[in-house]
Formats: sequence, structure tokens, C-alpha cells
Amino acid sequence: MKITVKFFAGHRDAVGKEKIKMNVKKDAIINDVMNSLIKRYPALEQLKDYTIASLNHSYAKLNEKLKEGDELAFFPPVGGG
Amino acid sequence: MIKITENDFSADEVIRKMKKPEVGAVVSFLGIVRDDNIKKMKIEMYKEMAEKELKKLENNARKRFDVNEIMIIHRYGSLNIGDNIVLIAVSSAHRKDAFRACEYLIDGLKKVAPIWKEEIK
Repeated sequence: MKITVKFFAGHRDAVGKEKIKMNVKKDAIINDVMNSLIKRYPALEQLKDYTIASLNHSYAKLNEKLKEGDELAFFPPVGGG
Repeated sequence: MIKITENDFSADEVIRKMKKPEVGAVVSFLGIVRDDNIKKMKIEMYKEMAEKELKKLENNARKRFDVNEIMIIHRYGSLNIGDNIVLIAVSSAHRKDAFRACEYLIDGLKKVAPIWKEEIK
């Protein structure tokens, strides 16, 4: 399945890209993507404990299943205003 | 109403437009860039998600408080000291609901909106 992964703030700096397209296995969960990204971009490892995930523009848990065309995003804790 | 923008806005204009016959109170919060020995402030935002989360927050505020209009404006991009960052304005018949809703909205925004501030020193 093809998905898009976006990165923001420190996570974007660690990856060096704003977004990537990925192929993931059927029934993959968000945590699987996180782990494979850490292998590809080792700088993400130290951010793992501060990582927040969103799926299709809503906050998501790491055990949520992915489907074709999903937009996943990883970023640090938020703080606007 | 939610507005995500790179451009400056006028709080006065927003408040003026909220003055309607049934409105007895307008409460607003204006967040601006403070001089903490910085040159600039960069505001990064996941825009689609910020809009969605702020819309949810607005709907929750409407359920909790008896308010007339809600306006949330948040900027992104590179800002200077003294620049406007965020405006929350709430109108209602009576002041208590406007005050409470305004505080609920700015506290909620800080917790849920995917926005990151970076101080450029």
C-alpha cells in the first residue's frame, strides 16, 4: 500500500525532508512505519519518545492500522499561540 | 470561524464586526511576539490538521458555552517582535460565557493545534 508521510519541526530536520511516499505492507500499523523510518533516518531514534503521530489530520495511536492512500505525520509536542 | 494565514490581521476589525444587536460582550485574546532577546520568531504549522483541530475546538466551545460568534486567527511564517501571532475573539449576550469560552479556546489551541514556534536568536 502506498502512503504519504509528513514531518514537522525537529522531525523534519532529522529526516531532511518535508514528506516522503512509502510502500507499506497490508495490515501495517503506525509503529511499523516509525520503526522502518528510524532504520532509514537514524536521527529519528532520539526523538522517538517525543514523537506524536497523526493520521489523515487527526491525532493517532501508534497501534492504528494503515490503509492505501493514508497521510501519516510525525512531529514533536505542539505549542502555538 | 477559523482562519490560518501568513498575513497580519486587525483585531479591531474582527471585534467591530462582532458588534451586533444581540451581543452584549466581546472578549478577545491577542498573542504577540515577545522580545526574549530574539531576532525573529518562525511559526511552523501543519495547516490542514490545524484547521481541523481548531474547528473541533470551536464546536466543543459552542457546546459548553452560550456564545454568539467565535473567531480564531493564527499566523504562520516569519514574524518580528511585536507582531500579531494569534487572535481569539468571542461574542456573547453576557460576559461570563465570552470570558470562559475565550480562555477555553486559547488553552485548547496550545494543547491541540499542530503549531511549533522557533525563536531565531
